[in-house]
Amino acid sequence: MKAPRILILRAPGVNCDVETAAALKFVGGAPEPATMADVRAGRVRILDYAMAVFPGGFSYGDDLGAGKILAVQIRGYLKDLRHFVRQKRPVLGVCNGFQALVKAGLLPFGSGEPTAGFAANDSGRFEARWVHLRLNTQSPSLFFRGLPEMIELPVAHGEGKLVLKTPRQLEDLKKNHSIAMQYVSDDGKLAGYPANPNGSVFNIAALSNPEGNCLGLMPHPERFTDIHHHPNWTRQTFFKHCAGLEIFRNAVDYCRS
Amino acid sequence: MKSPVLTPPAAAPRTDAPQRMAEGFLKLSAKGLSDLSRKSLWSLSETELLAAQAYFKKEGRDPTWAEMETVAQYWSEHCRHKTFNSPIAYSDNGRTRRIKSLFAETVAKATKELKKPWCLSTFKDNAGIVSFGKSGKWALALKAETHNHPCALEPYGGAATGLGGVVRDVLAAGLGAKPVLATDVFCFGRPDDRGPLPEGALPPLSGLLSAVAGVGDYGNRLGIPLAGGGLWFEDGYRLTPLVFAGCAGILPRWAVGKKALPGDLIVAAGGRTGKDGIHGATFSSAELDGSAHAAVQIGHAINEKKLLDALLRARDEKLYRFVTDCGAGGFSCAVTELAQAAGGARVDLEKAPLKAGDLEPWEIWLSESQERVVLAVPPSSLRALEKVFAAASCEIAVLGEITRGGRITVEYGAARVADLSLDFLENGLPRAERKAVWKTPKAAKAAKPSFKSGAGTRCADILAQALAHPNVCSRESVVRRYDYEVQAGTVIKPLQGVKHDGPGDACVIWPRAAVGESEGFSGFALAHGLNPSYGKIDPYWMAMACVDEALRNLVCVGADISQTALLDNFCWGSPDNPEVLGSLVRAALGCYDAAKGFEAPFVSGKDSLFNEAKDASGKNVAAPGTLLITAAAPVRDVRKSVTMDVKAPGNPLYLAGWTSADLAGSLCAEILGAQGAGLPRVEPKTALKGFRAVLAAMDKGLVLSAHDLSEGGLAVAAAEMAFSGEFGLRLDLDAIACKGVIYSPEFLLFSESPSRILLEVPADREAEFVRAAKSAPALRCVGRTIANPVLKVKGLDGLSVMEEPIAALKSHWQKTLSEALS
Amino acid sequence: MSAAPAALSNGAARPAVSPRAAAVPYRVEVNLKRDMPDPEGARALSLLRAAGLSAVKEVRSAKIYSVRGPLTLSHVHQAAKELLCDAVTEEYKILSPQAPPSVARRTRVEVWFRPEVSDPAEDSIMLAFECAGLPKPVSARQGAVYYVEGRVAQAALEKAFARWLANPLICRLSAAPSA
Repeated sequence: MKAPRILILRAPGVNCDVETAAALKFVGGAPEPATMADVRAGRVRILDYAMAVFPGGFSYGDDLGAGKILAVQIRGYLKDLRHFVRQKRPVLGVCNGFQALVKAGLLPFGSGEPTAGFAANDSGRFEARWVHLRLNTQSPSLFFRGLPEMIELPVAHGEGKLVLKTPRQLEDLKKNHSIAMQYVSDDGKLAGYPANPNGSVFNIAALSNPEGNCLGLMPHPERFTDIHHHPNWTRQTFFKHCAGLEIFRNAVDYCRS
Repeated sequence: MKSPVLTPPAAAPRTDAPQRMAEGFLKLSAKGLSDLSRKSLWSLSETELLAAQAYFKKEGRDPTWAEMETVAQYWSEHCRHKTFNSPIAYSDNGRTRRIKSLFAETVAKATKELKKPWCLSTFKDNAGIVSFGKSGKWALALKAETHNHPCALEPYGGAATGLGGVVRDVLAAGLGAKPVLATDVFCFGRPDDRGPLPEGALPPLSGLLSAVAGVGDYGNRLGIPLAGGGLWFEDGYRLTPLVFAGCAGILPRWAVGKKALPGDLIVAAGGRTGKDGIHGATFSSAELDGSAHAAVQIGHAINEKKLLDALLRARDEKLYRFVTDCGAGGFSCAVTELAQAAGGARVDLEKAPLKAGDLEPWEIWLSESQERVVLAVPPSSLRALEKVFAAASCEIAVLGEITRGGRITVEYGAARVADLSLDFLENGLPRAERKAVWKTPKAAKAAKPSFKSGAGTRCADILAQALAHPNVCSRESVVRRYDYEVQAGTVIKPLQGVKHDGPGDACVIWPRAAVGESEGFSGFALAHGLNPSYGKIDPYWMAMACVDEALRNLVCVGADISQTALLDNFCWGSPDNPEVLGSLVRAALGCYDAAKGFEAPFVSGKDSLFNEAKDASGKNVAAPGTLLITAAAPVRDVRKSVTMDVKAPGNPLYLAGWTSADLAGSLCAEILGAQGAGLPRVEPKTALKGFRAVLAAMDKGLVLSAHDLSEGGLAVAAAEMAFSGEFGLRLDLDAIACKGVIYSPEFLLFSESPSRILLEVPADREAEFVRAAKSAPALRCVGRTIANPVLKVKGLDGLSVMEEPIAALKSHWQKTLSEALS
Repeated sequence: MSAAPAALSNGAARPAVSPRAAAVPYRVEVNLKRDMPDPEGARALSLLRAAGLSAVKEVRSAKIYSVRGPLTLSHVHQAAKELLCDAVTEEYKILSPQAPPSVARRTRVEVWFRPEVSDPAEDSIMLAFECAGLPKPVSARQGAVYYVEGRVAQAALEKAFARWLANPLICRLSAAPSA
């Protein structure tokens, strides 16, 4: 069966595109990198692809806030993205890509108006560390099929604290099962720093649209696609799941079905 | 006749007079020349100025300012390493001999004599290049640099642009390597130092915080994992901090060589040229006096990232024949280097894209604006090159072309800015002989330490202080500010153990994203060796110890040290001081013996001299002579790598390597405020035998954890292994293999004898391990891992020397830096 | 003395003005919303305390932008709202060119890169205007603002900033009592 074409969207400063493309290739996808300039010039049409990925990095240096300029470009040049999402094609935003999708108003709801934002980590520092994550078992996300409730992934960001516009929104997110992942302690409880590396409200690490085909997450699934990526692989005391690889596999399998 | 007085061009730019000549230059007296050089920040000596004057006399004209600036840049210590390449009259304890070139007779000599076939390019390119992987298709470029002078003044921008510079060195190695690892090593004054400072100096903690932020802000944006490095604190660096940055990159074998041809276009690529950092190269040869300020800039990481993306793409499409980065001296050095390699060049500076229009031609020529490289491009490839760079939103401009004439010709529109003979620039630099004096200090001769063995409880106190010492304590609060896992290749991370916070000895990179699947599980490890405390006693043994430390760190993660490539970074004070130069010579001699002894060639290196500053009372203070050794070696199968955290209770612990009472320059001596004796003396042949035996056992999967013994000796290493793995350890001091008879538990626990590694061996395969590692000298079982979370040490008399909970030890180790930096 | 209004806040009327003379930059200050934690302010506070200024009680941080070009005030409002400020976490005000009026016990410290230092954010700011369909500015700079609470002599505050927060080699700072 033909490998599904997957659009990897880049902008200056995006720096996780190569390993993200590699992960998609491992699981049978056909990743194709393109820049926002290609999109703007009409050289690349998103509707020609089965899936779209916004990888991590520092798009435009995050000079006006993480992912901000990329978000402005998504709203301006990638108007088909909302249609793409409505057609249930998978969209994944990792770290900076997640921040851009939120600021472009595509997550958690595809209204086009941003209802959430990001602030500097409570620690005031860039934080690179592995975190424990609890997946929402009721999440409609197509990316989570077959994954255990608890997984581990690394985070690396300075502006990952998710903030909601109003407290009421949290109830909406819960109702729609949009809270896809939460930062937890190693025994699965909601906990503060460093288990929650940035101080996100309700420990939110990932958001999904209610339909489950658009996922944004701060942790980096492309950095856990082999057991040797895990910080404790030499101890061999963890389960054998490479959670990151499974997330990509689910998306590619979905594209094929 | 009164000789004319010349002044440098006024600050107010006047681009309508770009060809302005330094009129009257030919008539200046030696003193007049020196005055002019000082005023112009050229940092040229009288002999050098006279040689330049003689050249222009032969040319029959005065030089232009741009020409003299070019000479000053190209002949600067920074670009030409005059100290390492000029003759030295070296007196060793009264016995004098002449060294024609320190570089050729030490570091480069070892490389030449070792003749390793896997060394693909040494010392001649922007970075050293060695082979990588098993297919023969790939190579690894390695480079480490310093950026000390800018960092003393402006650590944020200095550390950022230092990293940017070394990344560009790797990017411009051969036809370009993809950076897959970055490192940083900082030497600063102690973080709690609040002593008096001269005007303009920054408190050490402020400097450190800014440098860490600079590296993080720049490196994280570039997307290169910052997974290796180190920190060293001592008072000697409070005014002259040292900031090292390193980089490793992967390139295809076909891209190792480069050759520009006449007719090729000279193309500038990357950031625009502005007034940034004019005189950086000559400035770094001047002792810091606070007057030089233009050398400071902050860098633009995204421009570097764009350049990186575009350049590697263009490399793979084979669109250029030569690349070199614009570092110190800007275009003046980069274009001249390109011209030297190709036989001549002509450029028109009017074509260079500028940040603002108010630059004099000589400023464009000298500007050190970051994030730029210079390419030699066949005219037929230009259109394709433009396309690749446009796709990455990165600017390029054709400046001129490669010529045959043996000259570098610089124009600005119709005006001639400079026209110099390349032969003169390359070979015209007069080599003045310097004096160097080495006298073995008393401290190196001391037979016995000034402290005696004390009561057993003292060992626990010393250990607590050693773990909390700034040079031993946890670096976690710095490491986590860097993205050490981007590119998904960091398989052995800087932080290890159950809680991901133990101190790894080396990082292992599996550059799968850079090489694809072709190399399977091939990776490489990179580690450092640094110990200025030893250097204060004897720089020769410091150099030996640094190489030894870097190698044993590599061994600890399972790297194949038979293919170790070394990088040297010398940071010393003024070589005009014979004693300073003597100590530098001594260190270089140590490097030669170490490289030969360990069969590990140097592939690249750099020296940074004049690390001196005036203190609050106006006294000139030099940074301690400091050698940083960076070592990289292949990891044939990353799945066999080893970490330092103990894995399970009940496993035997083996110590490989001899223990002597080596306490001179030791952490223990410093903690006790006493003088040690016995500087660690590396015996490379013995050490190598031990390392190889350990690696043979590792290859068979017979080593569960390994940790090197360095500052704080056995006690610190054992404590770190225990609390990182969250199991206890029992050590029996009586089992240690000693040279000579050592009665003191302090000596046994805290001696810093080199070449030692502590190993955890699976209990059920102990016999197999002993067979596999039997050729290791002085290999002894010295204890066992235990379930009880304590570090228990049994003394020679069979009585307990200490029994400390590992949680307490860890808390000593963790608090120092996290508290200082919060 | 009649003080000019310090700021035209988000909700203020937007008079239709012709583009300002290119020489006069617009200045936009972006503050975290009041209930947002301010790690940068906390960092500044701990550094100022480390520098010996124990009287400093609190520091709040803000970002500031200076934009020059063929822009009307309504352009600048649009840019501030859509580009410079995060609608969820931040709010903005457009500063008048005059100095803000003074209130004791709070010092406003403004930190900018020196004019000769290339501001790495400049390209991004200009690009963002373009992406949002606004006229492209001629120049743009990003700076930082610190509101320092507590009785501190201005000279001591400036010295502490110079050593710990804003190296005078690359930054220039101005401290003034503020609202």
